[in-house]
Amino acid sequence: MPETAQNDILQTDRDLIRACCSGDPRAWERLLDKYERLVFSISLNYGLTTDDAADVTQITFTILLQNLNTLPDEIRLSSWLATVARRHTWRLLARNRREAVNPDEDLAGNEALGGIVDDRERQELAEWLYQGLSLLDEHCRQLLLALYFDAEQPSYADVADHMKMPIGSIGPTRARCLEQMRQSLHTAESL
Amino acid sequence: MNESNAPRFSELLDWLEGRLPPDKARDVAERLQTADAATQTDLDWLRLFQQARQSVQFASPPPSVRETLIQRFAEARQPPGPFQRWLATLTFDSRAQPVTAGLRSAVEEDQRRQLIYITKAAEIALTIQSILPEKNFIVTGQIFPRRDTPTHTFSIQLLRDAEEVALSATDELGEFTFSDLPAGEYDIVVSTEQYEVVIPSLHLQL
Repeated sequence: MPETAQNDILQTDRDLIRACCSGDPRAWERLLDKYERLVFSISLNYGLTTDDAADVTQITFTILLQNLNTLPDEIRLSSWLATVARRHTWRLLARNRREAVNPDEDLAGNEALGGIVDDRERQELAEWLYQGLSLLDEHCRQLLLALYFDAEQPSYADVADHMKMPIGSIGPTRARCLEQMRQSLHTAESL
Repeated sequence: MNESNAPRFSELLDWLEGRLPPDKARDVAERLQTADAATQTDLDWLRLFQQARQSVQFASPPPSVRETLIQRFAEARQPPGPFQRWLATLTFDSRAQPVTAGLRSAVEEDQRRQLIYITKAAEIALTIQSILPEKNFIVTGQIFPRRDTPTHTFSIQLLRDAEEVALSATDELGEFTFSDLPAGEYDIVVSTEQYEVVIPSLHLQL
């Protein structure tokens, strides 16, 4: 089967999980492509260091690996992963607080957080964003990540070059992708 | 206001992001004054997205995380069977190594022997030590699993003439010990729930 056709088949989480269960390493890599950033960022936004967030990411996907064969077909994988990641993040935060001589200093290492770890609204916003991005197709997700969440803030020209798209189509495509995200979130929330 | 005159989603986005020339931006702002509820909802949603992208960190984990997870997938999905069994291959025997003059004493030569075995599942290091004058032996070992198997989950069976003579288990470091063993030929069977490794014909002799 041509690779592009195979890639098209592996679009949904259910397809990805089934392919992983049958031992397809490409499916596992696509699953990581789709969710590793989401899982890692959950921990980061709770104030974990990069090393701790990496540990949580590793633990979360290892638990997924151990449970691949028993996940229900109708599972919403982004929510499942977020729950596992959150639980392990809380554990690490609690451990860090216990171990730190001064908990405030310990968590202040993450400058981008500004020391905020209890901002409930911010967490809800983050998870809303993660869920929305996870509902998009791969092309849209990569485009929005590049345009809005890349720390290097690439220009449209850079993004067009990277994604092999005409530069003129970047603006309209990003609008379509955002509209798709809004509609997908609306549908998911009404289920 | 006519609904068709309401700013479209893409126009709202360009307007919010400041991508429109001044005259078009003014036009969108004016049309928004009388926009319908659906357009206002779109605008609210886009503002929420903007707020999220500004306050939420979004980053990729270090490459080592992915490498480890890909490795774990490969190990976890190794085919099959319900249970695998390997015969260990001896790759190092301290007695078989050439002796450099003055570096290994006669006592060490006689009383301590190191062996290293490998299989697809684990590497196993054994040290055989003779105890004088009883002429008995102590066998200590350490298991280094290649798969993601916790080191404390191995059971170690010592067999002589196919009969179990001792049973042990690994600790957190994967180490185990058999003491007071008389000279003779033994087999060692290292097992977990997933596999079993057999070390055949271990000769304990002075």
